[in-house]
Amino acid sequence: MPKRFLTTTEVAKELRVSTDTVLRLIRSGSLPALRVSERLYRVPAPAFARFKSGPVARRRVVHTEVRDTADYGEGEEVGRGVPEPLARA
Amino acid sequence: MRLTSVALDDYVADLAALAERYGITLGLTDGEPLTVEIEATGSRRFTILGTLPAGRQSSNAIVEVAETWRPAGTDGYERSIYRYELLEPQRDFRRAFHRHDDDYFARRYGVVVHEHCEAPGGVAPCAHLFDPPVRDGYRAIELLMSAWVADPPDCALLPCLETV
Repeated sequence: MPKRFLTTTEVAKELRVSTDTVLRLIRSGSLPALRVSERLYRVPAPAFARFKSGPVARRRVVHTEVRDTADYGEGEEVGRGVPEPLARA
Repeated sequence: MRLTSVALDDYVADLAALAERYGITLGLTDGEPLTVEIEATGSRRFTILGTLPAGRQSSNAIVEVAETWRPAGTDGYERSIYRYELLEPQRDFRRAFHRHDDDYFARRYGVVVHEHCEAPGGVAPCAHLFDPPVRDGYRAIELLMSAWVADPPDCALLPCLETV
């Protein structure tokens, strides 16, 4: 399985910048990263690929009217006492 | 958290942008808008659905961020229901954070939120797990990305609601 995240050191090497610069990118919100500890971050590989390909265009929002209501617990045993263990084929 | 209808639209757009910046591929074409559905009750709901790579195109991980916001005050809305899901066929793993059917879960377990952590192809020893509510959709995306990045957790270590 391909590697799922990069360390800040790996990102710095890829971008040819210092790790401090990478940390600044992360702290400014420019580069999405998952905080592991005070100075330790994981940069998801897809996030880094997206970062390198340029900024994300913000999508607009449209509205539509619907008659139904969403079923967020679809497939769950709700309202029937103690749920049975989930058995999914 | 309470938002006006305009702020709620901004929140949805910001959530989708964050998901895309994390590298989640949304099921939308370039420039295709996001949809906020308005129910007859006045509640507003949206689903941001996307995928993350998993090595083989046919088994991408599925990411879902879905919320319903009910009317609150004048032109205000508050998040009343959510479903945040990561489903990974390749690793036979599901991680989910839910709030729905408040009355049932409050009556049955004394909480309104629950989680799932399971191997979808097998049997989950505990159908409903507990952890604190997820603050908002931004935090949800972080949680789902963290679950995708890391090795699957030991689901047995999470507090099971069924034994409460």
